[in-house]
Amino acid sequence: MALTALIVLPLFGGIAALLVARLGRNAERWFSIAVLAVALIALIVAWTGGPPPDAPGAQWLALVRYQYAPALGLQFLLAMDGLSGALVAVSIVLGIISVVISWNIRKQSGLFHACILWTVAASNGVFLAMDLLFFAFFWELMLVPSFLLISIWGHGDREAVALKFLVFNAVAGLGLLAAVFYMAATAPEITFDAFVFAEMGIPPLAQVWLLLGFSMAFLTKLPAPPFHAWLPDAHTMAPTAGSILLAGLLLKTGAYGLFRFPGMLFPDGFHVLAPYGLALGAFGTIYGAVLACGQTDAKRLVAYTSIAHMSIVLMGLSGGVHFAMMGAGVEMIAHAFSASALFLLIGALYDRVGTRDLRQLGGLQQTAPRFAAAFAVFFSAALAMPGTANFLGEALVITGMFQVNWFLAAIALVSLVVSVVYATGLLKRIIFGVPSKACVTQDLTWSELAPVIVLATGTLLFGMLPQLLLVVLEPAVDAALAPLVRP
Amino acid sequence: MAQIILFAPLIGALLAGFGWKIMGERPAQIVATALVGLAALLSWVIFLTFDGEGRTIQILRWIDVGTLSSDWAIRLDRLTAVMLVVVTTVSALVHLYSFGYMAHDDNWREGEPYRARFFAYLSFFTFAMLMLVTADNLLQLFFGWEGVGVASYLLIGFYYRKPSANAAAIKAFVVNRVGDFGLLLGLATIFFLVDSIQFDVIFAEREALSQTTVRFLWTDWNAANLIAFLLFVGAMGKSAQLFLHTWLPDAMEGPTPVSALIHAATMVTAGVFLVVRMSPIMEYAPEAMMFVTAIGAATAFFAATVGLVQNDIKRVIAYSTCSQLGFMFVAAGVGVYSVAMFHLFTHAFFKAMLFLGAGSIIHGMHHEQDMRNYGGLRHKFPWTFRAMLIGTLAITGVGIPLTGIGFAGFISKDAIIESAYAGGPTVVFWTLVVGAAMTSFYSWRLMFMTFWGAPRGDAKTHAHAHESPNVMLIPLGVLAVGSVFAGMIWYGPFFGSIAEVNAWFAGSIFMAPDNTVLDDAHYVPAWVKVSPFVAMLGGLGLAWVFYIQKPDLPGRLAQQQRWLYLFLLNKWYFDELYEMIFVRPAKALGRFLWKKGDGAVIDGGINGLALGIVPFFSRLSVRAQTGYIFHYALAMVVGILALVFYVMLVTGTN
Repeated sequence: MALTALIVLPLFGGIAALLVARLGRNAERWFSIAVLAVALIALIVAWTGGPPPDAPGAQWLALVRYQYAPALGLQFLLAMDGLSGALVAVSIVLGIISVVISWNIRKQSGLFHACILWTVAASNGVFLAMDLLFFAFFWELMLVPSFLLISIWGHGDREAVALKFLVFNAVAGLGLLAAVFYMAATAPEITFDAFVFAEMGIPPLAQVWLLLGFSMAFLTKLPAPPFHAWLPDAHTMAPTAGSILLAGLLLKTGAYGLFRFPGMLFPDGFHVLAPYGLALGAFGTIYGAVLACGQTDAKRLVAYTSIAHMSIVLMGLSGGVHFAMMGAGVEMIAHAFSASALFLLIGALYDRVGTRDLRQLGGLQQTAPRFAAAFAVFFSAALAMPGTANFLGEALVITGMFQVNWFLAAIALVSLVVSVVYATGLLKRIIFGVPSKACVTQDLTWSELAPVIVLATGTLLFGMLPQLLLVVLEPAVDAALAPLVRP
Repeated sequence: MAQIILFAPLIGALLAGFGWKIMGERPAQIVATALVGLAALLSWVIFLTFDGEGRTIQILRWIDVGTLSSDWAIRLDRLTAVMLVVVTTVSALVHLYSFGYMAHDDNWREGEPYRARFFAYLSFFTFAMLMLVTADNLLQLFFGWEGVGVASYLLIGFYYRKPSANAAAIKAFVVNRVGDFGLLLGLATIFFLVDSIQFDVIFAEREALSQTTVRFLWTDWNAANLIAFLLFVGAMGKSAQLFLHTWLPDAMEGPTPVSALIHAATMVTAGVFLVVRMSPIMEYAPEAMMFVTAIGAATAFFAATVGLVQNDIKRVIAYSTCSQLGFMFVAAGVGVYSVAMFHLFTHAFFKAMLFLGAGSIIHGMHHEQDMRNYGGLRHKFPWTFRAMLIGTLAITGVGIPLTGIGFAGFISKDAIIESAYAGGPTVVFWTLVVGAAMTSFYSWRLMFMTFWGAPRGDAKTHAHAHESPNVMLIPLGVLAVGSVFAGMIWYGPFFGSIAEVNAWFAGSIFMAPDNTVLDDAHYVPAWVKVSPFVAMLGGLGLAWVFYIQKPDLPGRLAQQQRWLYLFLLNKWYFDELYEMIFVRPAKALGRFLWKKGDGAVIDGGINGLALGIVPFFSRLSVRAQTGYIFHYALAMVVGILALVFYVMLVTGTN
């Protein structure tokens, strides 16, 4: 019940927000926060409710199954383990943060908040659905509110960019849809139940094709080069809340898909395709980092660092070893915090000075010290400084890579060197130097500082005390790896 | 007690960094200094009362994933105790000194707060450095290792309005990350061969490691050699050894107290500490240790040659540091780890003092750093002069040959040179002797150019020059005591017989049973023992001729040997070379990938592919106003739902 609420509450809350907005006086903002707060409570209830009796594995913390048309194989099936629970928590927190930092949005405020809530609802659906029909439905549904966020509240050439985002991901999603329907059609009894698919023994060759279909959707969302072309534009043009949700949630759904399904459904296909995943990840991490070094638009720069970091996640997920998989799980959470925070800060900067051009910025340390300190914290996360959760994630992935192939590990290490170049370069341009023409005069306000503190706490807490996060993820990782062990 | 030492500076950093607005700048400075002072006091208590018995103090269970499990714990043994004293003592004195040095600064406008931030960074650095030296495992060591890197970055770039300071800070960070690349490879290799990151477990496996073969870079390696080599690459970055040294001279852009603490006495010695800490592995890695010796000797020589011609007072001392670190690595490389620690220990005193003395002059001369504009300052700076004189006597190695009586540097540097003769190739010994001669020359050159002769440069600056306040002179006095006596007092424990040294260090450093270099060093021929003294006299005499007797000689020589002079002045053109080999191609690659790769091929290709679809959509989107977009989105949702229902019906009827 509580699991269902995690999706239903924000979904219908979004519709209600459209109406509530008519009351005025920021009613839709407080309403959205209230909805998400209730969802957070529902998450706690679901998490602590004890293990479900009918779960197919020990790693599941909660499970809901409702068969509404058993004859047609149709059912509503949600299940939550440590990783999906953590990602849902992140999605709700980022939803609240998106509302808080968008207080000055006046244009169609009701729809704006509905979009935030719908994004949370759809990504929660993706994280929880174990019935693949629902999974695919939420997967596509997720695109809609993001598309609206970019095209209505974005900057610059927002409509074309929104369309690019939509076309890319919708086309890539077709691969997922096709694979899901093929599996349903070939199952002995019609079903979309992932647990059943896992048991039914798909022939190895079919596994390869099906995994390719799934990967098409997941890699585009991740995004791994060369499927990334939509991301820099979308991030740059999106409003701040849109960027936060893109970086914090949408990218994570791609990583989550690659975490959950290849091992569970296509172990043979995984063994065939994993080397390509590793190669793609290794390429992407250097490619993203090198391109980040050359950017002059702050938001674009962070977008490219996202590519680099999510490529590390891809390496971790393709490694098929415990350390790398744990690292990928940690890095997903860590990147959700650090990238969202950077987009938040750059958005706040843009609101004040009207530019994101690094060549025109400077001197923040002097004019806005809190702002500068916040930038410093999250850039140390971006360059994987020990003490941040990002270090934990990347170090574990790299450790795992040594078990797979030391050359790949070395490449990942090179990206750590390059990350210093872009991070220190950006700090120099924004924080240090003499305050320039486009000089910030107002430091972070409390409504901006509070989310930053929340995100920084997450980044540093999990970095300093890794066990807090690792014990949550470990059962999920063990379960994901179990089918991959060859007899 | 060890916990208080470790966490007092952290608390100081947090209070000063976040609390100064509440308590005010000056109280924040006092709190930070008092807490580091407390740590220093307790460190001396531990150092003097320590019984040598190694122990582990657990702080918390840190990480537990797969086979990787580790506590956060303090490893307290003799090696740690020595480092604790060095770090906290110099740090406490530098904190105190900074009250005076940072009191007025032309880089800041009137009323701008910067002092509390400076003290917070200093205290944070101290915490990170303590974390490094108290580490019980490699992960903890790496936390400290990167922590000091961040502190160094922040402090080098402290004058953030200066573009040169920013550039230097970035350079330091990047070059260190290159070294970390090697270090991390080394850590990973250890973890995969030993399946642990605890020092005790690793050391217990040393014999097995020396008999294991690993494949790396398409070659077969002896595991111990590979590990030692990779870890040393990390040490080269942090300790500014040849090829990764380019950041250290530039780091002088930071305030002078920072140079004394981080870039002379503590952080840059972390590489030496790492090699000594890993001595059980190093002892089984003879080839890697040859490499350490070679790089150490080459750095000692290279840095000394560059130091001969520099005119910026801080840069001279920076190259001197670089060179002295090379001496320490030679000692470690030939297998006398205790002697490496000995020089690290004494060097911390006199090098910190030289930097603080230079800072006192820079402070009194209104931030003039060019020695060509100094001259005759011994009357204006009587106390600084005396301190610098003691520091110079210490670094050049003044003492009575063939006895154990002399300044700290005399004892420890001669110990290294004798060990190099006993345990290393002859060429290393001669390189170090020549290095010692050059050390003497550039150190006395600095003294003569600064304190003797007629005042040069801006007369007004000289007229306003003033001795520094007591708060800056007291730290100089304390360090002077150490510079004079540290060598003589601790001669036995660091450079006595093997039995004596082993008893004192009690297993915290390891010398293989067949490693007798330490004993052999005591029985080298008398001429070997006297040679560093002769070299010192030679350097002193030459400097006296050049800068006192015939002050026009250096200029004439530079004219005559123009190429050599420029070669040295430009630091062997390392920066230019790296710019050409690494920096420019990397930038070009980045530009190429962005413009051609991302822009033309990927974006262009995909747009081309979608050429049929996109125009159709964009025709729609031209008219798309916000209201319409919502309709499209709604249509899409309906479309998805319709598709889902269709499939359900089709599959359902099967």
